[in-house]
Amino acid sequence: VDDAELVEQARRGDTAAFGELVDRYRTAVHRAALAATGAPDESEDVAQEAFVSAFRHLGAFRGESSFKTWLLAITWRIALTRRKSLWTRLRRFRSSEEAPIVEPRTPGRSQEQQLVDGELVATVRRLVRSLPSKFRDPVMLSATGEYTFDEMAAMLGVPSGTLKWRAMEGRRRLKAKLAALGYESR
Amino acid sequence: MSARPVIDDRALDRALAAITSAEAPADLRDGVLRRLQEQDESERAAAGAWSPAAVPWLGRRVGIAAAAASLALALFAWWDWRTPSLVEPQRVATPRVIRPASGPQERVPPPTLASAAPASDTHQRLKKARWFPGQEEELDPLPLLDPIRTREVAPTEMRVTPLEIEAVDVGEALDVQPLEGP
Repeated sequence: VDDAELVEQARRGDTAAFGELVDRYRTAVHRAALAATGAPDESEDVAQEAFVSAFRHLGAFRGESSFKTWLLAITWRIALTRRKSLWTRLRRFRSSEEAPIVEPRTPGRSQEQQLVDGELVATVRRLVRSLPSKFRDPVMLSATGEYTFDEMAAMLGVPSGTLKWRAMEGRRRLKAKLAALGYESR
Repeated sequence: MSARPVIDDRALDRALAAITSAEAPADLRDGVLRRLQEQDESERAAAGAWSPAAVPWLGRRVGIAAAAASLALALFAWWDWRTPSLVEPQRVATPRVIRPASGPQERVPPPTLASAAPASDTHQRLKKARWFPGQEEELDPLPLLDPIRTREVAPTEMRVTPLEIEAVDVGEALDVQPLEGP
């Protein structure tokens, strides 16, 4: 069953059909929310809110874009609203160093190398937060590997070419910051 | 570990993926559907705690009562339509007394002020005058029932069987209520 058919069924009030759509896009939505908020617990709440909002506004979905793109745009908007709220800023300030780190699992790497990777992850997380949002968001979204450039451009509301340039510029700035910290850049 | 690690694109990709590639919770679907249901319930409760849908037994009783009331109203309307009204006065002009010419001759009483005046004059007066209590005799609101005019408009009847038309009090005959004064 394709998305359009599930959307049509959900429009008629079939919550099971909408549940199928939730299962299909939960990872994409959750990662977009995480990229925007930077907090796993908050991203789960944003993802739920995005799906609920999408269900309520299914009548406004005209099918001009894919359902996934439309859903991600809703998610991004909700996540940005949450990111700008004072309460979220306070929470982020209090727990900036407490966010759990997902260790990169690379088979064949030694324990020492994985420790180094963990340290690098913590450093990169801190440095990404220091980037301006116009660079941070493209870097984070492209790092998820979930979205095409067109989908990211639709989410952020910028042309695709601009988005590519910002993602590259963000990575360049990150590397420069890492180099300033003593990392040898190649 | 004295030397700092090398950072290249692969290492940066791995680090960024570690930050952004969190798995979505498996029960996200349940959470979404639960939230939708909660919203529906709260909206329904906010829309009206007295709605029949919110209280099924009350809705059933209200429905039965409304149906019974509608039926009773329809029956009453039908009965009222079929039964002639006993309360409302019959607004029918009192028939004038008409006697055949062969009977004892009676003179037509002297005409009232209204009937004595020419028809056109009466019309003019009625147009201008207002009918206040106490003026019934002076102002005749219905000149068509004027005895003189009646005699004029039915001359053939009078020729066949001469009739004597008695002047009647038009106001009383028609049960016309006088207007309130200013």
